[in-house]
Amino acid sequence: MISSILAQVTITQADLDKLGKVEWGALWPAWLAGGGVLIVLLADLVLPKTQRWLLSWVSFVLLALAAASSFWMDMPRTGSNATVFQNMIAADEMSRFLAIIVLGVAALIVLASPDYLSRIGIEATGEYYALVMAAATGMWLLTVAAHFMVFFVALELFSLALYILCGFLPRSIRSHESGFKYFLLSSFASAFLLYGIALIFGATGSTEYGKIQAYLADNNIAGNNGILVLFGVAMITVGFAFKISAVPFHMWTPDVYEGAPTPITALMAIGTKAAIVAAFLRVYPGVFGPISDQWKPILFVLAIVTMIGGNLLAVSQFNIKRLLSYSAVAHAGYLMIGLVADNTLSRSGLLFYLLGYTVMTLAAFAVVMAVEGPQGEGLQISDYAGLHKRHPWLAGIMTIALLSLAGIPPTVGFFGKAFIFGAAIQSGGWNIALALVGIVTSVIAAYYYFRIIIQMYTAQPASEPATARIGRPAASLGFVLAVAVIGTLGLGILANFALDWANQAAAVIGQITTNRGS
Amino acid sequence: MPEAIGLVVLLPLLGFLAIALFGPRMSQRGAAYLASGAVGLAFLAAVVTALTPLISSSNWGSYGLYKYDWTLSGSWKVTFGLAADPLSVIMALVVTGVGFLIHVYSIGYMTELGEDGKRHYEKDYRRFFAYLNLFVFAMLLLITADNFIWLLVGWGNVGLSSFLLIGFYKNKPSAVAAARKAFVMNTIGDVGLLLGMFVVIANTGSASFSQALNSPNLGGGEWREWAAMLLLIAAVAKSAQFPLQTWLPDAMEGPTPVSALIHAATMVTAGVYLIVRCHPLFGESTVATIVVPIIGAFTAFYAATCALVQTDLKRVLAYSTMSQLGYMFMAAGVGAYEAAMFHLVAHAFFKALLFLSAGSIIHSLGGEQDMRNMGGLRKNPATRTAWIGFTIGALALSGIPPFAGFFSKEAILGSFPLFGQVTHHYNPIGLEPMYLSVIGWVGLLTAFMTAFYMFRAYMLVFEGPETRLHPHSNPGSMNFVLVVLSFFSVVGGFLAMPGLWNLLHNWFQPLLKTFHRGDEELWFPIQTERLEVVELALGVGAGVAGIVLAVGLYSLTRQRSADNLQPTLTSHTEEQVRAEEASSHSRQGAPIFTPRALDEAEIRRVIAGRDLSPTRPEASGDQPRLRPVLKKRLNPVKLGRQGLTGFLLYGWGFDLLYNLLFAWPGNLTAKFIARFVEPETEKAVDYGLGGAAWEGSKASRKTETGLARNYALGILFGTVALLIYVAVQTVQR
Repeated sequence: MISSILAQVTITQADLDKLGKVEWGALWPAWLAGGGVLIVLLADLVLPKTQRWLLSWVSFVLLALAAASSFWMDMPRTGSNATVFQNMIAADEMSRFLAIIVLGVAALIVLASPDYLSRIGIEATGEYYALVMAAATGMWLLTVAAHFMVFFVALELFSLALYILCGFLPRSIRSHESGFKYFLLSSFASAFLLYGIALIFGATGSTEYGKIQAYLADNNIAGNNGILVLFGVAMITVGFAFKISAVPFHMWTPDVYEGAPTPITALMAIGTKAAIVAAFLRVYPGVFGPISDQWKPILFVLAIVTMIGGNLLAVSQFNIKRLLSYSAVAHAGYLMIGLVADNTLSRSGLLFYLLGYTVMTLAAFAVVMAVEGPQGEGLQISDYAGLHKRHPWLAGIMTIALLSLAGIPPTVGFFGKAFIFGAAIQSGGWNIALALVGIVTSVIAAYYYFRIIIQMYTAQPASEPATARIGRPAASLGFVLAVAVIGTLGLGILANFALDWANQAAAVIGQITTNRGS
Repeated sequence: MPEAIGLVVLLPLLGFLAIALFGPRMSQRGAAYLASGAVGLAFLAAVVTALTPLISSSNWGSYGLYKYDWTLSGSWKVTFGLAADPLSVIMALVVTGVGFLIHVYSIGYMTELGEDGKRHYEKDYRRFFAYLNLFVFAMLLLITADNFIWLLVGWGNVGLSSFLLIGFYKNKPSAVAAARKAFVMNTIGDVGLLLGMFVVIANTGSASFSQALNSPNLGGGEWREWAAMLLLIAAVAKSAQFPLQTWLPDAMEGPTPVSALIHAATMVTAGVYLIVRCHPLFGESTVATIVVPIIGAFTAFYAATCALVQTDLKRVLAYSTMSQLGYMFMAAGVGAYEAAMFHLVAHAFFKALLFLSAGSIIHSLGGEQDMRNMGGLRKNPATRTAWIGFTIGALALSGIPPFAGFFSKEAILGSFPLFGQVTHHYNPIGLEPMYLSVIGWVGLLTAFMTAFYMFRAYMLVFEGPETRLHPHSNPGSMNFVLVVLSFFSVVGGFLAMPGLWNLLHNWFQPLLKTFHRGDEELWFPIQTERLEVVELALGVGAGVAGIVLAVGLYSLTRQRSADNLQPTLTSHTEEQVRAEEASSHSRQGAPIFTPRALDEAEIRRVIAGRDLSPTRPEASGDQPRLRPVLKKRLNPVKLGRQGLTGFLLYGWGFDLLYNLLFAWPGNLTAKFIARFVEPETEKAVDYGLGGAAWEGSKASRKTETGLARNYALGILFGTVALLIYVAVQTVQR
């Protein structure tokens, strides 16, 4: 009986060929980072307490290997082979570019964490590293997703890890608040996103990027189907806008960023943003490329509102993490300019900006980590008064990071802004307004960034600051600081190397229909 | 190995960064050794580069080493690259060679003899060496750049480091004022360079020398003239030529090694370098071939007259530098680039030697710079090396054979036919031979005056009654540097022996071919075919006559005491200023005398022949060394002489003129703006834009309630807005 059934379902070689080869090698980062989650959890059980410090190194090495593996894995592909796993995963140059950003940042944040955690007094380090690696895996998967199911699973994978990480500080009520708020609001937004995916599926009959794009390109979206598609796009945009924290979907950002442990804040501000921008790049100019007239006005308005709102709100902040979180909101607005402008320069400029945003934000948050005290002191801007006397190097790095965030040459921030605003002007029409708003709000941004610099160099601390006794950062954190600041300056001075790579990576945007026939 | 040129540029930069970043962790001496070592190694690298033609001739004269494309604006690329060609390498040899010697010299110079008889490091000893390295790096960048952009980077940075080093004694108001003045003057030149560069790039589409300068797109038209004139502004400002010359004498407020390195041997020659580097541009521009030699001749003459009456030893040398740079401009203007470069190299040696000898004397006299307070130093064992060095330098500068200055100066004067004859390499688009001969005679007269003022200085410092100051001996490293430079000042001239050989010509051969019209080379080689005996005799004769006159005047007549009655313009040392400030503090409200703040009233007083020298604090302390004030008695001859002296002393009153023409209207405008325009604008910006941002921020902050339900409401609000948009879209279709 059973054997007869088995005989009927015998899988022939032809069936296997129909399925296509399973390209395990294209997922090296996921094997390393995702497998690392298990390794670290197991090691946490096995290792005695005195040896737990090994965990951070294990996870750092695994994440660094995961980032490096993008160079040897079975990637990138071009043409009709650009997607693997039955067209679920995109294996192109952009995947590699983003793997370096997302996994590299996760690795550096893991490296920076022990100093911070030991200062805060957290002992449950095994879970911490495991969750960071899970989040990194999710972020990387989001950047390579070529299928809405992979997309959603990846999104939820890193979101779940981040909910826990945000509330990770055991004795801090703000941390718990942060985790809980993030969880509530993110779930709320995810519901919209999922609903949008369902609507799109309903209209087009697929959740695969390439097929949806092909459908939209071939069929005139009119009638009921068109309504479904448009509502689907709107709902998906809600989910995206929430994750990238565009105004008015941004309100969770400062509260969550402020309460979360600082390395996690950095991971959210950089990794999440990079991953979601990657998804943006694959979904909007790619999947929804044929109907770009429909979504561009939405993103246009979102970009303007986000730039103005984020920068204005940052002006009156007194907590550095809140300030940086509003700055992250404002940068989301700048990044969206690149999506709306949507030409060759804007795509590569956007990737370049992402790279620059990564290093300069990492530098700023690494300094915040180094200055923060055990009970969360040292987070007010006034605590930075006279920092250059206590920690001249930290003050110098912070200055470079802030100058870069404000867009002052020769830092990478200037060139990123130059490329993106230039692309907006190049695309012409109303998009020039984007560049204008971007420039005006950059001036506002200079005000609040320079406020910190002025505090560090000219202000006298009113009394002995709470963080005066914080010693020099550990060597591992110092390494992170060095990488970030060298990146901030080096990518600015040698901008063309990174831009060339970004150009290569950006070449694949909007071209995922190449494997339509398979 | 032309690639070694990269090391030449890199090493001083590393030295600078190391001292700037880790200075406080180094010992004083360690920083000095590090700085000197960096430049010394750079010199070795430059030597390796210079040996290229011996090793392989294929790469010689190559542009674009270490090429790096910098894409910034669409498809237009700035290609950075270093040039290892004869011009840049010979400049690199001079900059690193003289630079290294001056670094070594500074190790000793920047120490003070303390009360306890031991040497103490001057304040900010490490900062000084960091700046010196920064300067050397910037200068090397300037001369090795193979494109205008990088040239500009170096150009601006030498201006910056010059500013920092002139104002090194930051507590001395006159030094700070001088630094500011130099910076402002140089900025005018920077603007000229920038605009000239733009003209070249706009017309040729390239910033690289090899492409832009030889590009036919520049044409023979108006744009070429514009480019040449704008670049000339830059060259004139950097090389302190008329009309932007006034900053150089004041720049002597910096420490003496700085004066020797920057304001004699290297930075001020950048203008000459620029003209020689851009010779395809200058040599075929009609206006430039006329204007440049005239500017050079005028400045040479002008500066020599000013040097005649200076009483400050360093100011004599400063005017002398200006005058010699004028010679180089003369030569470069008519196409005698070899002669200009030859004089540049030789001048770097003997002027550095003169400055460093003067510095030795000043150092051993505890900061005294007024020559009239010196005297009789020849016999003093403490200043013997300085005496030898100064004498050799003065002879070289006066063009006495066989010292280096003789050959190089004759090479320049040989390019100017004294009797209006047409020379072989005569550039027909330039001046008529007649006018060239006038310039030649001016050069000859200047040579005479040069010899005179140098030996006037010599007589005042080394001969005559012995000074009341007590010279102390200097460290051996300083004397060693003087010996080395003396050696080069003697043998440096043998690079090109008129009539016998011309090593320089072979050296510059690869560049030569870039510049010719038809078959004819427009690059003047130094005349090697025959000796112009008459001109040679006149040249040497002018020098000898000047020396004889000076020696005679100061040993046989009462000129020395007459000099003592002369109005003075002498710099104070930092200690003197401090002492003065302390003493003036007790006299409430008494104005502090700042010798370089040339206000109008002061210049009028000097021209009217009154004494400016205030009660000077005593260095020796035993006797007051007050200058006797002139009696008020109408004596037209004396008054005229005093007037002339004051006129020359203040450099023909150009400071006054520029103050009237530019500073005064500028001040008025600034005051007007500060009084009427600025407060309103500031209010408008502050309360308008700034207020709007702040109020907007406060208002929008109200959305941050901290309540998750309100945040969810925000999301909902956004979603509803999106849905309304989509609904409208759908209805519309």
